[in-house]
Amino acid sequence: MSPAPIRQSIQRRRRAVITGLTPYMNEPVLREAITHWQQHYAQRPSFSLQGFVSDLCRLFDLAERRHHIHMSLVQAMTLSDSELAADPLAISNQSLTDAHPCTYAFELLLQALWQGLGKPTASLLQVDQGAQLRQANVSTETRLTMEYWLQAPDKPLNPLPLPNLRDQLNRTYVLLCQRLGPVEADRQLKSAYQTTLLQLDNPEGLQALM
Amino acid sequence: MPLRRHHWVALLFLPQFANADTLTATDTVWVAIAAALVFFMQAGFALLESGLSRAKNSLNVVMKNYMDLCVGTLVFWAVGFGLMFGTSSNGWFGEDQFMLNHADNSTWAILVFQIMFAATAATIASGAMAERTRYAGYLCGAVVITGVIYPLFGSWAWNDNGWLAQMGFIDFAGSTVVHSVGGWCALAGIMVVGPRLGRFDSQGTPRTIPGHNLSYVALGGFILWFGWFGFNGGSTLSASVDIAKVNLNTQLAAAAGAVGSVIFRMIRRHPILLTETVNGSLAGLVAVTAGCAVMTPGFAIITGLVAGALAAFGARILLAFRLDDVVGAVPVHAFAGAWGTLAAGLFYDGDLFNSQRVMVQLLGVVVAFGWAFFTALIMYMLVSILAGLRAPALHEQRGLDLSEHAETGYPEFPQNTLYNSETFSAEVKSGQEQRP
Repeated sequence: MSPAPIRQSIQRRRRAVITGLTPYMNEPVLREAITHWQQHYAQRPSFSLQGFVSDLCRLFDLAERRHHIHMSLVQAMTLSDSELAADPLAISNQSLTDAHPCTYAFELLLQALWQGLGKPTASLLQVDQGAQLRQANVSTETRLTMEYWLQAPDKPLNPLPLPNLRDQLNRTYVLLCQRLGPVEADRQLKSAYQTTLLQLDNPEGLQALM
Repeated sequence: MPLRRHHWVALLFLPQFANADTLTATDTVWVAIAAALVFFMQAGFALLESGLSRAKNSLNVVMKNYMDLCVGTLVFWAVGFGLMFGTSSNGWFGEDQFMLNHADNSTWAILVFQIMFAATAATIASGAMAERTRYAGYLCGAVVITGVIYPLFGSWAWNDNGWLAQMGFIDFAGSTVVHSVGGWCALAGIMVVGPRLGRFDSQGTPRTIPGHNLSYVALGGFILWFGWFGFNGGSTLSASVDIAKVNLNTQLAAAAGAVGSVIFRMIRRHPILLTETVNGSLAGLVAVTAGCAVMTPGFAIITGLVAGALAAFGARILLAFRLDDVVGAVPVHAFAGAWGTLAAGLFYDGDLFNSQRVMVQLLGVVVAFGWAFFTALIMYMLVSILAGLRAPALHEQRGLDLSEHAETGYPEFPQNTLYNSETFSAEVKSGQEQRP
């Protein structure tokens, strides 16, 4: 199976999970649940649903509704595309560029940064970034969005408010300082900035981000 | 030529001059010129500290040097001078001469000279704490140093009734009174504010953060050296021939300090750095400040040599404790100042190695540390809680020039295009967030 159909399959299953869980969860919990599915079950076969439901009951104290949740998810998996809920994590690059220039600039900047660092260091930095999302005082929305994106950095980043993006960039800078030292961190950030600048038609989003 | 008796009195008990119009016109001119020379040292500090900071923080360092002089001047005039040189019935602090508006000409001369000394004590911390300290928090510290910490210790050592002065404590121009006190405050400051982002790796190994302009460092060193002739020479408080020996010792110790630093590096087979060489000469200057009037030139050289090596060694001690002193202010001012004060007792001309005198000197050194360090530690902790001392990580990323002053030191240099000061200013003014 080629990567594109796999991505479509995952997207469809994610929409089914959202559809199945919506009656039982409010939005923040739902986002947590989707992220958990994304991290641990998205790549697994669909019959692993039982394990996912088991995790949900344990993580969100839903043991009493276990049977109903499982049934709801099984039913949702059989629904047609038109009947499924929209996928909040799916967004096109074009819409990002037009409507969310800062988010798009952030995405390009971090990709340029990772590229400049080289694969081994970039991987370590991504691990650090993921870890600090859980440790530090980060909003749930930002954490889930970033976690999802760090899992799949080739996909578009969901829009985030500018202060949150700046905060994330700064946290990345701090991690860079800790890992490489402040001089190299400044150099890498500057290099990534210049690379990103060349990729953007309008640099305002990037400048605002800094 | 030995100092005349009335000059000795002037050297050790400055307030005697503050209380009576005892300076001749020529003396007053010399003290005024010396005050201007000490004022010029602020430019030296600014250049040295700015040069040792990264470009994105260079302006902030200069601003701190500029404003601690201004704030220190006002606070010392209002409070510090009275505490230090006012009538001291108990030997612990002066009780009058606050906010002086009426006095004789000698007092005016001494006041302006002493204002420069107070500003020097305050500005020492700025370099040590550079690149991560908030502007307002730093200035709060400068107010307390010039208003309380420096003048109170000064009254013990330099007021005619000060308890240390009564014991025979010798500190001619302030190795301890000015430099060690400032250095201990700097040590407290760097302990409270913490190291710069990434200064030490996870194992505690220090990472080098080079200054942005080492020519500024050298120029700052030259200016400080030049100003020191006013700092030490002016402390004679008279336009007398005694200035010759004082300034010769000053020159010799500075040169020996640089050589001592170089020898230390060579023995350790390390490259000889400009920054450490300049700091070596400054350490020599600091060390000889206490005893330049009471020791022979040969001992001034020894004092400087040891001070230069001590400053280089002290910098490594600080790093071993993960203390981030950007310019090496603590080893140069605190450590070398302490050594110089002991050297003034050890090498006292005509009465070498008098253990009783050395013990008094040691007492002064220990008391200076106990008073200045712990008071400053509490003060900086309070400032940290109440006003904020550590700059946020975002400010460290952008640089304090932009985050604290909304301007940059090098707007036309390509490396600073990363952060747009116009965008930043507009954002601050509007207080509006842009769309994501």
